[in-house]
Amino acid sequence: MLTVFMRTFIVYTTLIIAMRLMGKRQIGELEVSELVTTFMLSELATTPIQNLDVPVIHAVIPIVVLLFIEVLTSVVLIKIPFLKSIVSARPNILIRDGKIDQKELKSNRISLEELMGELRSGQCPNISDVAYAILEKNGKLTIVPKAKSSPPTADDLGIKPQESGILHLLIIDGKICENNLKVSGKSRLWLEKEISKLPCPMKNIYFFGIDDAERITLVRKEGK
Amino acid sequence: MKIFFISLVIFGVMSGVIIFNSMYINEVAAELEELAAAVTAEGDGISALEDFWDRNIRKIEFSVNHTLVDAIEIRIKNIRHFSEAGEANSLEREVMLLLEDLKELKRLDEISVHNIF
Repeated sequence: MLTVFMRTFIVYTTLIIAMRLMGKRQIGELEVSELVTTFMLSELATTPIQNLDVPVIHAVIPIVVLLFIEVLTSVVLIKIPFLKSIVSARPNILIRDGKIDQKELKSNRISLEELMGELRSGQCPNISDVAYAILEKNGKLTIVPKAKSSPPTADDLGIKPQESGILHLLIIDGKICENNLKVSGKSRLWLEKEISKLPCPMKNIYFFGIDDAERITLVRKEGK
Repeated sequence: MKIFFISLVIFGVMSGVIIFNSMYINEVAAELEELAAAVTAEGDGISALEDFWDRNIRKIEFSVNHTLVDAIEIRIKNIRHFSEAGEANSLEREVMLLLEDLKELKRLDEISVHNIF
């Protein structure tokens, strides 16, 4: 039992380090090579955990090799862009100026029903309203509507909305988030001064944040 | 590029460990073969074989499939058992089987078409 626990810990730690070094893309939108790597990693990781006859190093070595290949490939592809067209897919334009490129649709094995479904979920159900529909490398469809079908922007309406940016959570569950404080550009002294003005002690704060327009949001813990 | 160099270092260290481990396994297997071949029907040389195996088993287990390690362990125990029981033929057979297992131990660390495919 202790062996299984230790093996799980070692393989998990190795996987986490490898995945972190491979980058965020491995977690979300995957390319073909990344998807293959992820599948292989999951298989490799479980083998020594389930089979005690297999030494842990037999999982660690392939994980490190995959990590190295993945990182090396990404570096080589940046240096030699020509290879990118061989290793990874290229984006394909399926709709241009309201017209479907039937050849591209066929070569990507996408049915008209699937395309229409994607357009509907992209809030652009009418093909004639689409300026570009691009099938990205990760398989997602990017829809660029024509100007006449695009929602009006603040510039179009002639208004100047105030930039609020993002809400920086400076206190979460009664504890100061030093990193968020640094990102927001505020000092600890400023925060302490603001806290002293609040109607409740810091331990009763669920979250306290400030956006780029200096607007403060305070939510107390329930029942406090 | 920082990540690339970290990966390169990890890969380099791992490659070094693999090479040294392979050399170590080959050395240990060769030594065990010599010790096993020196075992006589009267039981001479068994203690030396056992001592050498006990000193190295923990390091061998680090990289060798445990089924093979267990098989070698059982063979060495059987050699001792047959020697004490005075079963010369069985002892000789176990020594031969041990030598085969040790060949397998060396073979697993070789880069060959057979191993890869």
